[in-house]
Amino acid sequence: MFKAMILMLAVVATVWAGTADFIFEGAGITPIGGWGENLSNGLAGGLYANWLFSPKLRAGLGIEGAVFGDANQGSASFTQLKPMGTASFFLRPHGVIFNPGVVVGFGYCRSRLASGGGIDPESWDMFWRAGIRWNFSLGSPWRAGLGLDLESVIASEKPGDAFKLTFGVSREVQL
Amino acid sequence: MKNTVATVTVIFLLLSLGCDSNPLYFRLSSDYFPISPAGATWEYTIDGGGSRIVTIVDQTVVGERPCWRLQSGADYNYWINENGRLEKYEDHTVLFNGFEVPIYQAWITMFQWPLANGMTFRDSVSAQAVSQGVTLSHTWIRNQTVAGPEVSPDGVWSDCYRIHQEEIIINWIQTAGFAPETTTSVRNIWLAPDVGMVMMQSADSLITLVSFTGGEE
Repeated sequence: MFKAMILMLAVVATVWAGTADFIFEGAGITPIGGWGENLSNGLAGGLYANWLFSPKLRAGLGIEGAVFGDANQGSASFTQLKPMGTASFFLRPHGVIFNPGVVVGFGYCRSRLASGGGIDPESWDMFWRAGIRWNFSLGSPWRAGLGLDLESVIASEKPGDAFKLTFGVSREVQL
Repeated sequence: MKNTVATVTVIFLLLSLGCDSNPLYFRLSSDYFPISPAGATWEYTIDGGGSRIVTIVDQTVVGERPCWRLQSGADYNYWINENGRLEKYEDHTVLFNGFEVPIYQAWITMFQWPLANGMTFRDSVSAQAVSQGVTLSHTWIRNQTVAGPEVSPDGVWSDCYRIHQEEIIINWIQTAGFAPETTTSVRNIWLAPDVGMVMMQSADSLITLVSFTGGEE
């Protein structure tokens, strides 16, 4: 509940900003630890909307979906849906070629396993991510970013950690 | 804008209140049927008296494939756990004139990983052999359904998957005086994470794990 309140405060705070940044990000996910032993690497796609508190600091909301297949040509599939609050800080926000930054995210992850015609009970767990970005211009107002993320689903008994390689395209919009 | 913020906030609050967490990642990373390393031992009690000890003996080669040999009482059986599936070497015989006539030997997939509630498996074999001039035919069908996760009936093990197994064997000695003989056996097997079988219940027996010792890697 405490963490939901933090999310709520972040959302309310964004009301005071006037510029939004919309991002579409695709990613390849590699599970870390035994939970991915029978699953293939995953593919993810996410949409994020951030408000700019300053050119360097932004925060907002996003949602990401990820899907993993069977590592052994079987019928298993594993999906994640992650609504989250995000924040990012960039060092050179108007840099044409090199604008390094860090991103963090916190939210919930809905995990679902299907295998051999069966479906396990789905699980909702808290989730965090942290990563670095190399942001660059694609020609105003479009920008793109390459990144690496470490993320973890804080599930009971054992976390679902993963490493992620991302590529995203973004556009700033004056509201 | 304020309405949007309020809506999003309410969605997050509802999510935080209504979330159903279960150790899905733990189950995904657990081995539900460990067959290595050598030395691992399971000791079971048999309802009504007696016990059974199952031990992983060593690695060997059966049917041109490297596998693990397990000893259960006086019997040996052979297992492979690789490429997301657990395979058992099935050695079927038919009793005829006091002899166990070998009729079918092969590796058959027992389970595919990961297990999930409602998963089903069906395996079947049809084979024939000739012994002392008589044709013996053998049909074997195994249907399995996975349920869970659940706590084992003795309340000791959580996050178990229950395998409901139905095995039908039809043996037919094709000579005068013999008719097809059908045997049906139904059992429930509870598998616990990183332990394996902790309980097996059939029409005439109930076996329960009393101790488990992992072997040395």
